[in-house]
Amino acid sequence: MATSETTSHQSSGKSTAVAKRDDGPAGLDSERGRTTIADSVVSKVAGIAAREIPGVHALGGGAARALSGVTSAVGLGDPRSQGVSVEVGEEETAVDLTVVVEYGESIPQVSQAIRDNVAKRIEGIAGLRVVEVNITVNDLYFPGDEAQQESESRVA
Amino acid sequence: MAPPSTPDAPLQAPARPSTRGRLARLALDGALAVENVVAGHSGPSGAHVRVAEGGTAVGVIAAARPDGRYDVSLALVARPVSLHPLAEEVRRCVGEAASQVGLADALGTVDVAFEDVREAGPATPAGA
Repeated sequence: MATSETTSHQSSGKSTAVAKRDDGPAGLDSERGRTTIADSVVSKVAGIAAREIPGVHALGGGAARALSGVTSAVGLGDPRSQGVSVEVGEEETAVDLTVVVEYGESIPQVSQAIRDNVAKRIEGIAGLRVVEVNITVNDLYFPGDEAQQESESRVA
Repeated sequence: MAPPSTPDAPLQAPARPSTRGRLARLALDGALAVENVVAGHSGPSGAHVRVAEGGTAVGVIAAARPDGRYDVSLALVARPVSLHPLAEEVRRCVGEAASQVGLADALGTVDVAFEDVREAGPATPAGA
């Protein structure tokens, strides 16, 4: 059973919240050259920042986590970006996260902590203003789930 | 008269590295020497790879400009630290490295693209 709650920093939709860019990744020009930061970097920073919050068990939906396990095993993809979707503009970014929260944690508090940390990390690392962090809690984690699944798979 | 060549001697002397090749190499080496820069990256299109004397250099392109200078484009993997100051530090180090070998006048702009970030993890055991 999946528990779902969506929270957002602003009521406006993500597609209208981020100033669009037309020249690729987030950049910063200077006389001596241009700095660009790939969208995948912003995704990964958001994923790392979300995982830093106590109470976050994993990122991504069940299918994404299963697929990530396969792709990581063959050296493709990065589990730190699973469950993360970003839209990056010239100076701003919006982030969508899908998370699994540990049972017993306050989802509003965990969500707020995620939102604050993701914004802090992205602003600090990539220099982008974070206009939205939309969080979908799609499952709860119960300690012992993995042991139970392992036990069941042995029987089958 | 030239001395007779021995069987072990190279048939042809290695070509002198071009200015473009030297700039590319020193720019990449200079970037990798900066703290929190982890590695070169082949870039979004895989174009930031050059095979030249001294092996393969992943993460750099040097391209000639009409004024005789060479613009350098670096694609890098970095630690998750503040990236814009890191890019400026990379530019400073590349400029310094070019000056040290007398290539400052040949260096154009230095574009820095961060294509990935990598956390500092525990050392991987040998053979893992």
